[in-house]
Amino acid sequence: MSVEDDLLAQVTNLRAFARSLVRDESRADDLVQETILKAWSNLSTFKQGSNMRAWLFTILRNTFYSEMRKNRREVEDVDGHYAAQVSEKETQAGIMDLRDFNTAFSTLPADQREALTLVGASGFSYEEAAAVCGCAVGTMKSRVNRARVRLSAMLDEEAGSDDSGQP
Amino acid sequence: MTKDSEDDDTGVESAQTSKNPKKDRISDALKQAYDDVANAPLPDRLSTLLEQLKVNREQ
Repeated sequence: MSVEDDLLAQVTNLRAFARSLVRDESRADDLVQETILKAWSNLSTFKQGSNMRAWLFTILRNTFYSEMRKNRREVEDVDGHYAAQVSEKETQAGIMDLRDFNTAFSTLPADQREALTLVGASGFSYEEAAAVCGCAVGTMKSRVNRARVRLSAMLDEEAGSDDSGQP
Repeated sequence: MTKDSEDDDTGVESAQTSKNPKKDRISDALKQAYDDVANAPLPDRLSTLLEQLKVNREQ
């Protein structure tokens, strides 16, 4: 597979990572588009044999935070915009209701969302995720742990408050 | 920059190897949420962009 093919094959993963940072689908796709174009025009700087996905995620993340600094947009989903867009598809047995999960996930700080997504869903090691985020491995572990503790507490509260008796 | 402890918190478990059922449920939901987005059809503008890049590469 050529470097170009490798890049293009990562678009779906880029979208998923972008959605963990930017909950609005259209804005997330803007971010993916910008990342692809930046990466494509800088392919000559990509070191052959290194991790293409990590390289792309780093570009996407840097682009996101650069835009945030410029625009001073709110990172947090204060109005629940993302939560409202979450798919309401049925979830399989044994997995918690995705709507509850996504609602809880959207309330996490951005650094915890990205940490959890990188390590828990994208398959990065703590070391790789730390490199993507430009932080220490211990910091990455700390963020993941805090996110899990916070999610767990929120979902427990959610389950405890659901006494409607409805399925 | 977000205030963040540099400590490697005690009790940190590998996200992939957690033995805690509650954490495993979170892992499952996280992965499903991620896969839902990753497996969704690309919007037209991204599909078009990818096609353009492929064409440019072949020229």
